[in-house]
Amino acid sequence: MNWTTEEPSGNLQAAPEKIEEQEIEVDESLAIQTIGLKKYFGRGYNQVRAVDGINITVKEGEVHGYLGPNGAGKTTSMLMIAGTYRPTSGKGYIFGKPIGTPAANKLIGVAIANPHFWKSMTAYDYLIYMGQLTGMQKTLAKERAKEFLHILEMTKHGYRHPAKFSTGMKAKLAMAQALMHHPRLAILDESTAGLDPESRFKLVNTIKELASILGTSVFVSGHILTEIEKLVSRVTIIVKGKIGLTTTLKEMRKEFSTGEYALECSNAKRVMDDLSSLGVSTQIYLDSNDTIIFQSDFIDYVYVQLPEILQRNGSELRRFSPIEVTLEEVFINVISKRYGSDFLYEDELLFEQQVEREGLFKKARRG
Amino acid sequence: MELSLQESDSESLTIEPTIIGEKPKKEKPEKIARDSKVSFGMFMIFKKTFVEMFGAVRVLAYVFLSIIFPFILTTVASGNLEAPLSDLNINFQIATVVSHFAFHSFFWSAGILLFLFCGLSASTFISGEENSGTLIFLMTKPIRRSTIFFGKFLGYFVNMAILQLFSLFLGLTITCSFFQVSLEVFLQSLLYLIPIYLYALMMIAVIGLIMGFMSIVSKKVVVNVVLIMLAIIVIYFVGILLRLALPGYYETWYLYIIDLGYNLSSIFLLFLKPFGFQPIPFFQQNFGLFFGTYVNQFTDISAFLGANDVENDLTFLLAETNYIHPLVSLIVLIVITIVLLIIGIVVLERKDVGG
Repeated sequence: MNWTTEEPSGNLQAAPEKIEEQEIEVDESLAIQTIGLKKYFGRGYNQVRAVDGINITVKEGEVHGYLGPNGAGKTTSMLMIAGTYRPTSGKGYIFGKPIGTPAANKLIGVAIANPHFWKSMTAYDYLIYMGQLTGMQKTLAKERAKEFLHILEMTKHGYRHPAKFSTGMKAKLAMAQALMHHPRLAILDESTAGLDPESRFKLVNTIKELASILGTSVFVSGHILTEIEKLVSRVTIIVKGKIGLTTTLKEMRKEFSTGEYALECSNAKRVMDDLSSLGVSTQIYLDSNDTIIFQSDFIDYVYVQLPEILQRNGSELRRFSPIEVTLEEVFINVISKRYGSDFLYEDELLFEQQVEREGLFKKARRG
Repeated sequence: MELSLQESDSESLTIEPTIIGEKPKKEKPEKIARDSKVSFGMFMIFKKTFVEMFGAVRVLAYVFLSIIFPFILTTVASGNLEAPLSDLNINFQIATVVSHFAFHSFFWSAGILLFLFCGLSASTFISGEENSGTLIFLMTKPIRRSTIFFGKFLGYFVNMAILQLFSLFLGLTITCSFFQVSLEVFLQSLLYLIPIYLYALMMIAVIGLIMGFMSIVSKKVVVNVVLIMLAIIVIYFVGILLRLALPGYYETWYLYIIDLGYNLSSIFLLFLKPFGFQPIPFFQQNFGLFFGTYVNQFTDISAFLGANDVENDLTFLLAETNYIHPLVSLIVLIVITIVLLIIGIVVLERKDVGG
């Protein structure tokens, strides 16, 4: 695919990497606001900069996607916002409340990938217990537990122990405990991981509907980009612990547009020849479905000429639309442009080097 | 998937039709106020821990193990008596029963067994949840991390306190019944249950907090188990070896400072003395032998073997060693526990908990 833009710029908000803390004021209307959030693991030579000064803003009521390759720092930053990891430096706020405090945790619901549950409680009891921990009365917690088991089609499994549930049911239960107290912000970290396509589709739709009914802001990460694409209105891409891109899907499509159009009609071959003779398309070809794919910077002129061309060839127009860029293409583009195509293997190489180094160290000590 | 949700109120959500065969309930949002109740996270965690620790297997194992040692000890001791205990004066009967009860309580019910059960329970406060991956959900709830710790500690403490009371009472009953003493002796001996129980409560708290600290700093269960085993060996068996192997050096090198058994036994006596506890020779010789609280000659092991003379007026009194004032030992123990607790809470507050 030909990329027309070299660097994400223009309408796109390329996240500034270093912003002085004093410059940003805490905005209570923002669901998430992080200012130079950092998380380093280890010290000295073995230090890993999992999250290296990220600034994320998630607006109230929006569904915000959080993407990145393995090891980019997605989970680390999400867990920092959820309050289970402590930041090395930097600050974060949830509706103006500092992250990791009970005040902030009261506003959030968190679901993680591959959740685990206590063996001593049934799913129904678990939800009631979790509801009560968020400060709900038992009667309300019971009602909500039934309600969410029903919504997630798990009513008949309510009296089973979740430790014995399938991956999909565990994911649903984690989702239920995250949303049952109607949080203002839901943090969902790869919460559809390990689900089959059908369950995933259902769960994504449920999240979307619940979020719109409850008015909950959602901060969601995931690997399956087509799924995220359906869910979110804005995305943030994190690469190597730094923000690669923050944008709305609409802006992203506009910015990363390839300028390609698809024209589906009868007598496609002859129409393509005529279009080609107009001399305004830089690239034109027929794909396997006999659809004409062409790229043009003078699309207005094509619009004007097209009826005549179709008429001339006795062709019937079926579809004519610009080809939308997918989130996956943007994702790959951002990563490969910024860090080179071998980026995805880099972590494995580093790991191998570390193992080798540790082996040598042990050998030297023994010697 | 069809969602039958209707937005009836900004805060509450109702479903139609209602699930699990119940009649559809009318919305009552005014009754269900979301933030009407103050968060009682600590109570919730306390309740869960308490209930989980009251499993039938655990309780039965504890009761069985707690009575087995008094059972064996009093069987041997009562068999060695030259005359029935009930023939002697009542003070000596009480002193004998209480001394035996105090000895096996310190050694076993409020000793080794308590270390094992409390240590193993407390060492999973945080690490158990962390290893099973359930801690992360607790930490995303609006409760402080220290609240999670103290909620668990309280659940454990109340649970162990009830079990311990039960096991001490059983221990005293067994002792009295094997010595075949009258009901009056039993009732008067019950008074001594108070100091021993208080000592046990202190130990439950101390072990709970120290091992709770370990549960925060170490995720590895094996480390904690090894630590408990080491503590038991050091307290109950190292002191006697030191005094036997280095009789001259024990005092000159101030080895009693690091002798945990000596310090704990003198704290134990500190609890007992205000209640007018009179140790019989059996108690003095064994405490002197194992813990060094009495000046005991190692050549005289008659008490250890159970062949002690019956002395009605309790003239057989060994001097106490008094190396360290028991109050000092007690304060040091409390200070160490509090310091570890503070460090533990600080570590817990800064801890990273992943999924």
